[in-house]
Amino acid sequence: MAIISADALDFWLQQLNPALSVSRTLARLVARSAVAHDTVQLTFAPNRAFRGTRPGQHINLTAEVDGRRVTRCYSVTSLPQRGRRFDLVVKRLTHGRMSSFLTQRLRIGEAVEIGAAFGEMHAAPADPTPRLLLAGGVGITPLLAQIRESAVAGFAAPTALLYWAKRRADLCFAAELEALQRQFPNFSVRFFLTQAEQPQPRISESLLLAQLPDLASRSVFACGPGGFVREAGMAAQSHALRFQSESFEPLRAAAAEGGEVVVRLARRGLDISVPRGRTLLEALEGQGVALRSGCRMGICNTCACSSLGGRTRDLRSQAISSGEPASVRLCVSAAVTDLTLDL
Amino acid sequence: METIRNDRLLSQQEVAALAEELDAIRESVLSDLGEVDARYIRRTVAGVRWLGALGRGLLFAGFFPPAFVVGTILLGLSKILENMEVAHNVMHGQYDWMGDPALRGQSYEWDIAGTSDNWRKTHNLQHHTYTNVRGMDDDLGYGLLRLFPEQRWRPYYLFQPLVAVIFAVLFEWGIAIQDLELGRYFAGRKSGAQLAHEAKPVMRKIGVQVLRDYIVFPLLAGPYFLTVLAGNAIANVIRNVWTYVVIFCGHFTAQAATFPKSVVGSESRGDWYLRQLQGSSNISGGPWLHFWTGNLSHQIEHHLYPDLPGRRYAEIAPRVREVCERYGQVYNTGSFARQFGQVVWRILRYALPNDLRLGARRRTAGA
Repeated sequence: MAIISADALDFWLQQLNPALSVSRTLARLVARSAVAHDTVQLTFAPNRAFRGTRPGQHINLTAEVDGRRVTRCYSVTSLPQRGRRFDLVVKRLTHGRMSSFLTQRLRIGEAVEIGAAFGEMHAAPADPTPRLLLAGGVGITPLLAQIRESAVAGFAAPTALLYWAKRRADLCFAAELEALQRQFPNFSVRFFLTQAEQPQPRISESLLLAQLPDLASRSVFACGPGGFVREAGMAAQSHALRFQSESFEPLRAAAAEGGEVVVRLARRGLDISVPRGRTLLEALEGQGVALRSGCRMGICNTCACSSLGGRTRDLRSQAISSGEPASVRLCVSAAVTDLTLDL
Repeated sequence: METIRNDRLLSQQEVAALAEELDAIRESVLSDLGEVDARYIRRTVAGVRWLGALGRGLLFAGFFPPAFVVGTILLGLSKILENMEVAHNVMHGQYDWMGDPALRGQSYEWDIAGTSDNWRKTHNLQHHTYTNVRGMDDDLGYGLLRLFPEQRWRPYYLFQPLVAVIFAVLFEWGIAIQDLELGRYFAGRKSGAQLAHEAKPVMRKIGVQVLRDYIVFPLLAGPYFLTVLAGNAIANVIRNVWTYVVIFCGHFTAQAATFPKSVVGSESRGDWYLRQLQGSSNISGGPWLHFWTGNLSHQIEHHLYPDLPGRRYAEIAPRVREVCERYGQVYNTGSFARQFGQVVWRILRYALPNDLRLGARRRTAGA
């Protein structure tokens, strides 16, 4: 409590600049350009609360889409030099609420909320160990920052990039990558277009061994959709010096009926198994968790708490939540998937 | 005057069917929530801020009487809008679906002397769950007023017309101390240590409000300290009286029913809906009335669906009314003058004992 609340201060500050805030980390969109089919690069100018990024890191970005806050993770493609501005590359997905919003509707000058940058997949530019980078589709983005960082240092380590996409038009930054290949003998890039007129092969063990006879001496970094990363692991893991990977999965499908799920109480640091069919309030109380509650019928909002991940079912309407962080009334909600609650 | 509702008595099957129909209305709104509602509440918040800033700004020029009058009114309107359309509705969780931490029901703090935490308990929990249940819904007269014949008469109630006016003027302070239950302390049923513990957050909140309206902003006005202080005080009173009037029209009209404690516990969802319907009353009017009452002019719809955004009540009201008609339930609505007139009548009538014949009380007591 204060004479003037943080929200009120933010309101007046944002009349001047939509990214100003005394309490939140916000970033204003300053530029947007197409980099491939259905794929754009967005440049954001964050406010002073932002701590910056390292190559290969990702940022959780939160925006209000159709009235609801949606959070998605995107990889930073730019290097940290340019002040604290950063670039993200976003591919528009057919049913992607956030990706459609970012690629088409967010206007220059408008602000979104961002989290601290995170992610550990990174090799120091000075490390001389030869590298193999495997990119599946838009999985090129965290690798791109690493490539750009190595280029600044003149590619101390031999670096090979194998980059899979459907068609030529889906490739991001192909011209830049080809230019780097011409400039630096230590850097090579090869594209595989799986849906081109003459389809090129998917990732496989034999393909990797044929392309890179020295695979055993290389550190491998793979990034892409879950299926791509799994295949990359099977193809490279047993042959390479080291194997690191990151994948982005779409939201989990609605889970089966019955059975049990694990509810994680983030503040208490507890994991508790509860049956799917019971209200979260009853199920957690049954396990000895003391919770604030009131009417126990979904009216008074006393038991509402934040769900940080996982889906719930509203037992009155049977509606299943989207899995976005949201407020959940424990007395009328049951877990559908594993769940993390801010309790 | 004691108008009795002539609701049709429903069978258990009918009550269940009614619940299903009312649930369906709720679902249709829930599935339609989106950008329009989000934009609406944001604009309303912006309205609160601009009205407040303009009002406070004009009060700094309050030595010029028209600026004083307009500034005070604008600040009062800002407080009304914040308390009713924003805070009351946000604290019900009406905008929790947006996921915006600034509009989260559990953590929103409002611009009034009482704490939001106490309000969430006395209003969201006690009043909305046990609406008009005698002995459980403290809002039935707030422990100060006798509004229904079922409440026992005591000589103190002869003063209630005066008490009711004072309570209206000081309404925010009444709300602030409501949950401290001072009556229980004075009756020796609550220890001083317990009261001190409960009073801590209340005093802190009161301190912040007093500091803002009666010290910091007046000091900023320098030589016009007293002008700004007076404007702020009047703005608070404007808000107090208006919220009091709207709330009283919502539950204390002639046809509002009260219920014994025995109804609670065995209620089905349909029974609960029926009780909300029978204990609430609307004020009919246009969009401006709905807006400036925080849509509590649709008290019936609000009590059926406390967590639907208030701006949706007007749109579903015809459907609720149609359901009521089909099930033979009185849909208690009327003009502002009619509903408030009935409230005033209750305050005056129940200041006196139920049976006005001389010696009636003694006869009853002896019987």
